[in-house]
Amino acid sequence: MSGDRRTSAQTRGALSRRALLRLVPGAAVGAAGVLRPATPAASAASAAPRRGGTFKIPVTANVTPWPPIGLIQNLMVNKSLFNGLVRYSPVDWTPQPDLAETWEISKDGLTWTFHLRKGVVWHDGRPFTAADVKFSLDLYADPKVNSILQGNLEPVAGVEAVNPTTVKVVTKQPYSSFIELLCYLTFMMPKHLLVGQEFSRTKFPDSFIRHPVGTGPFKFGEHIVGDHFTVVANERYHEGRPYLDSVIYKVVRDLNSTVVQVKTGELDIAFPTVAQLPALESASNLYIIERGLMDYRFLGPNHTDPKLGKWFRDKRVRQALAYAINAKGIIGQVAKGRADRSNGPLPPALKAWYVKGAPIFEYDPEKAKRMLGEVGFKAGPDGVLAKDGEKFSFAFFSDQGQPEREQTSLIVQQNLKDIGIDAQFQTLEFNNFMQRERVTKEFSAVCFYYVTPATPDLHSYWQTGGSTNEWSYSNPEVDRMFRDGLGIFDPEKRREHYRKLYTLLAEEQPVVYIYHPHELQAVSKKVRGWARTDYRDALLYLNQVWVEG
Amino acid sequence: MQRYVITRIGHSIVLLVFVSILTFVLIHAAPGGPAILLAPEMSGEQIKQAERSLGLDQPLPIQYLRWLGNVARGRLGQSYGAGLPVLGLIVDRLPATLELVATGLLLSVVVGVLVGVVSAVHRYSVVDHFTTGVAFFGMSVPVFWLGIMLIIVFSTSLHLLPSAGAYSLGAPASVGDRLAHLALPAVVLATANLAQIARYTRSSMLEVLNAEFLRTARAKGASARTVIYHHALRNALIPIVTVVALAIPRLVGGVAITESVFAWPGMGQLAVDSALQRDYPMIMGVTLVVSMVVVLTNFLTDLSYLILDPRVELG
Repeated sequence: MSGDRRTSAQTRGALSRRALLRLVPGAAVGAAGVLRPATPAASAASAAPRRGGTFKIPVTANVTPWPPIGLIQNLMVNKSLFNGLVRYSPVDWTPQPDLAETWEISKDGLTWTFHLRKGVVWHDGRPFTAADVKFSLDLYADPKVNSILQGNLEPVAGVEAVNPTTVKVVTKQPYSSFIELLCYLTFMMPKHLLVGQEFSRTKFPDSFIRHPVGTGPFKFGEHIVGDHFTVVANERYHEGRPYLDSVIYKVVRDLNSTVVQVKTGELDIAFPTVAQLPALESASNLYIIERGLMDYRFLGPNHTDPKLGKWFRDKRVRQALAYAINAKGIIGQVAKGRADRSNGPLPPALKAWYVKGAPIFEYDPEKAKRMLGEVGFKAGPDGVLAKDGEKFSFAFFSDQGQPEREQTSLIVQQNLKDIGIDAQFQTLEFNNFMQRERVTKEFSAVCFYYVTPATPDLHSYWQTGGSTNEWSYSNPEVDRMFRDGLGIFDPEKRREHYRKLYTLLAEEQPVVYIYHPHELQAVSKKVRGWARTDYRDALLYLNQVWVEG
Repeated sequence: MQRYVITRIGHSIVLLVFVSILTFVLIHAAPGGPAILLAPEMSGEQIKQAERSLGLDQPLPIQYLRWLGNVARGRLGQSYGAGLPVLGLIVDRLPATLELVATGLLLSVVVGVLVGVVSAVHRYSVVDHFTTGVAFFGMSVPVFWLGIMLIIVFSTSLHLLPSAGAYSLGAPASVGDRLAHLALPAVVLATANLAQIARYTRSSMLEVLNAEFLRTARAKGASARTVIYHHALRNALIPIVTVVALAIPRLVGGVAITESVFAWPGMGQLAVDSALQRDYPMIMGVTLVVSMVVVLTNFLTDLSYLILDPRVELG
């Protein structure tokens, strides 16, 4: 994974943008679980990486380089400034060494020992040690700090810095997904700059966010709030100085503007939607790349809705909804084929864990009607199904300004109407939507998406009371299986266990799983070495990116 | 005069308090909470804890009074999103907005007055009809649409001007680069006002052109240019100044859209961002500063009447 081999001197002229676009969707899913671009791979080796230059990436909102708060625009920057102990592989999302070179698990599955890389220094020159690791993990786990990683670190009983290059993490119970979740945004923070300061999710350490210090390939350069955030090459980076002189994260709120700017060269990369592709077809300076990512789109009914909850808790009703929704049609019309049919929260791109044989409910409105009939629903004079005098009628929400979700929702609305369910689609402004979905639970159903860590241990979404189980789904069998999965370390047994679990979830349809979109990247042809994975994870390997002069 | 100024300041403070109450009520009535509380990884308990630490669990009147108390002591609070003092962020952004607004205003006044004078002097000529047509187009076209069209033509098609930002990132700063970035947003911002100023100048000039004192001026041998620009325009200016003064608050408000379309790093964009993210301290701060700018310009406009027309008295 040393570099991206998209470009070559002879193909750049020979393959037109249009030809590329035609080829990309037809390309097979490669070993990396990603769709390979249709440029020949061999010839790029001829070009030697060049040092220098700037890489310009769009972010959609102001950046605050304070890892405990998460949020996409921040973590995009954090990935260049900081390192984790481990990170996702750009090939298949398996955990790879980062600041920890090796790690092992004790026999009882309760103690993880991490051996740290030697000779790593913070941007201010101080050595990085085990004490920093303990400080960082304690910080993220601290309820007072209220970080986004608190849930992931909840099973951790204690962290011990054994010596400067060895860290022991003891967990309360076996925690087999720990290493996968450690890859997720768990950036190491400098103890010497933060210790003794008071900070939390809502109160940031002032001097640190004005001048963040990490161990990452890039150092803080300049931050003009709301305009751009610049990081510059870390000459002393432990993997060698990055090729780029600097990376500029440019705040561009409007997605259409990012498309314009990547065309004019004001940006080097953009992440367009399928609807924006036609606007990019004529741009000869760009590659359009398609990648798999951990993202699932669904219709999520509220299992505790005062009126409809009693029906949504019935598996047969949920399965009927799944039969009623034309997922293939949605993939064709909304995602223009750039998506995978979904049988659960894990996409086919996550090859190690995706369950091939899990049930899929193919579009069958007749069957859906029959099933609802068996449950006791009968069509009233107005054609709307009803049971015990109550109509099957509800409103469902999506977030405003997202054409893909709006179009999906309109198809869902029509599909449900076809079988006699009166579902009215409404868009809500984003914050309002999130508030209802996450906090007040005032919704009957949502048409939404989640981007998840690359692990089969997605218990927070499906376990009773899980922090992202917005639908209040509850099934003791599912709960038990997620719990048991944490005690299984043997890769084969683990795979078998989660295969059963995700087969059960597919059968259960706690939400109606619709599709996994592919991520689209419009990348300047000058850019090389951009990792062949989704952009969130490609940013972990920014030190390998270089630009042609 | 002194008394007048003091009264005006008193009125302004009352007005600002009223505006802040209204803003406070409106932003809290808007559905949804601060974006900082909505990271998908947070549990319900974590969200509640964060709300408590921001004081959002308090009743609204208490929250408002707390804010007002801080403002009285010169503190606008911390932005939820950026984690930095609101005042500092606004001060960082204000110059860019003022630069854009001033350029837009200058452009609209100079071109607008010129066009207005020319169409008044050559009334019902081809020039007049043409400028009238353009003026109506300028007044009716939505700002965001015009902005996008100019980007398509001048940035993506012709590659003449940059589409966004205030300067080229990663390149050395230069005046030429700044002007290139300023060109499109300034033209967009100027357009609507330019059209209006041109129309007002035209009608105001037409009234004055028929006045007796102009005939006198001509009779005593003043050149056509002197008559038009010295005698006529000076007298036609009062209504124009009013229009320009009224345009300033609209420019300061309307700049938000222009700044968003062109990613101009100013206050307008800050306002839009903080509204979308429900960054309450930031919205309150921005509204307060913008209101102060508007109040101040109104005050200066009233004072400028004194200079333009000695017959006006303050009372």
